[in-house]
Amino acid sequence: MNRGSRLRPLRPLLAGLLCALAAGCTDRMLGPHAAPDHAAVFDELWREFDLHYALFQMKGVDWAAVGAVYRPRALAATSEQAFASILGEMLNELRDPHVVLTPTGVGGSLRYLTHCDTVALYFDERFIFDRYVPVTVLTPGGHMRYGMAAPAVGYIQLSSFVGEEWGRSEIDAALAGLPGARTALIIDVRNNRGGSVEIATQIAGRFADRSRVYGYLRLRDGPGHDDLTDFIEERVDPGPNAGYPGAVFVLTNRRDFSSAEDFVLAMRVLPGVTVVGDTTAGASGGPLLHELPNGWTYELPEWIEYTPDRRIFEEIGLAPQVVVKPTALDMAAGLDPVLARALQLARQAP
Amino acid sequence: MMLARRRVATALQRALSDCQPGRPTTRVRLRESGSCERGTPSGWTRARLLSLVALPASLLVLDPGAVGAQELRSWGHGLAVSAGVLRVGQADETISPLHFVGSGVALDVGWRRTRGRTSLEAGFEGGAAILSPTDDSDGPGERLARASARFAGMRGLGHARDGGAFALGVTARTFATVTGYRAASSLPMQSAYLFAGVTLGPLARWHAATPAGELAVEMSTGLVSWVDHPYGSIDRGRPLLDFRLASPAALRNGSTRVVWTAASGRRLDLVASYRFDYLAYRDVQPVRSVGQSLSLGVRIRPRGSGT
Repeated sequence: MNRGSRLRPLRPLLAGLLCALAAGCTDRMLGPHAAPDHAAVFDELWREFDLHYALFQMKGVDWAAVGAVYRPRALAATSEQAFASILGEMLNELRDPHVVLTPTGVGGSLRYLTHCDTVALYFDERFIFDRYVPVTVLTPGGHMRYGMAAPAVGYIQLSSFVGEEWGRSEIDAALAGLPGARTALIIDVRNNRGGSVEIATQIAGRFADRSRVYGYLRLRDGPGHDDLTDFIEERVDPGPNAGYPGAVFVLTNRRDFSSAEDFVLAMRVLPGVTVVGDTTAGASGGPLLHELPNGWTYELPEWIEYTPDRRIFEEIGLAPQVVVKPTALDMAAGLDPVLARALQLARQAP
Repeated sequence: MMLARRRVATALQRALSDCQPGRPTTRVRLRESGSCERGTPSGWTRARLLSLVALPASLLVLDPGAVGAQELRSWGHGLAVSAGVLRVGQADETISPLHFVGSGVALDVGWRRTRGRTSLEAGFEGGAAILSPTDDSDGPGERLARASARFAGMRGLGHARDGGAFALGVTARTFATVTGYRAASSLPMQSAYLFAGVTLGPLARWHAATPAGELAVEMSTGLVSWVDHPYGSIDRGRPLLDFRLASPAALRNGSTRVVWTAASGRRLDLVASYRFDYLAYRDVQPVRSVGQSLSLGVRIRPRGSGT
């Protein structure tokens, strides 16, 4: 029997099975879709936070009571804008800048503004480049600006950790561009609102002497608000070309959020690193993006982050070792007292 | 020996026939205490579990003198390798309230060894697919990779009236599905999720020889299951292994497989198979999954094995 004749009886069977594959019954067998009406969207949002938000107990929020208050208001909303606004108000009860609702097609993202978003910082980065670091260069990816702040003292500005896979290459490029910075390096992360934890720790790893624990995470791990995993170590590991011979000063302020705080945590466990400036914002929950049945999206923090001595810094922030708080007078005089203090310390560095 | 066998068979038959939902309350003798009360799911579930696992297991160890003794020649040794297309639908509320569906590729490797009326099988199935939301939402997407290994022992029961042959057995299956999820965002927000498990349950097989080859239909379900379904994404250091026993009511799963082997009379046969899998896990975050695959491949038989 040749191959063609052997396959002939298979043809009706194969044709039938191909039809079964192509018939699209796979979707129908999954059951009904979640409805996109206001009640279903509200319930989905409330339930997902109830099941996954990690910081209820730490923040002392009675989520059931919040839901009971806002559900009737949300269902009474007469427009999509009003509905989104009420959902935003409900999420604001969490006082968490990582909680973001994006009502796609209706308006911009709704996010809780902390006091760190609105407090006067008396900081203007133009003063840095006018007075302290007059000549600067951007790294090839454009994520870092660097220059010499004093003889043998380099300066690197890191204004964001957003993006993918640029941490190691950019810090290597910046350090290669500062061959004279042998005594000290100033890394300025003021007004850095975060981004990728991986990039933040990759850059910190460039200064690491060995693998060190810089913090801990506890992830939401069950339906109870106090269901959390055990402490999970966060480590900073030395990357390729790791090591810097001089002192390192990290500049911080109240507008350092999220991954910028991971960077500060990772740097401050390394030898020879001093943090100068003001306390960071204290926004530590790792958010994941989720969808709602109507196509809107939201960010939901699923962890609590701890310092190496297992203290929560959410809503508290990370205090610097050397506190310098700029004033309105500094601003009026075009001064950056934080950078000035770091320069003073750098000049005294061995 | 015969008396003991008869007692076991009687007890199993009672378990199967008496403990049906909706039937009047009847005590199940296999259980030490309690009764299979009407409308009590736990009673029905436990009796069904016990009987459906014990029946095929007993067939493996007892001499099947009561059934036909014809040799199942087409159960020869062999290694089958096939590849094909996969269609998957998934709704995992740990990931998203949306349903995702998509297509990909499937690979199936199976090995069988037969001695007399007993057959041992082992196999591996793998697949990968790219999924998108069924409601045509823009942005989110899933990349799914799944793998499973199965081990089965079967015992031939004899021939049916239509000339086909039946076999019953038990199968153990381990499976793992990793879903990479890409959120609808301009930011690179991606996460990965795991759903894994081990199931043990009965397997039934019917096959019939035709002039052009052999047609086989296999059906299996898992009755005793351990499920590993981490509470959230696994790429943040969350412990990966957290197996929990799942009752048959919590994890409903089944697989049907239709296999056509075009016998060549040589060592290499063409094999075409269609597989349908269904899984529904009832939990705080439910999971439903449907998979269909159509594969073509070959079966290689060692020298000296049956056709």
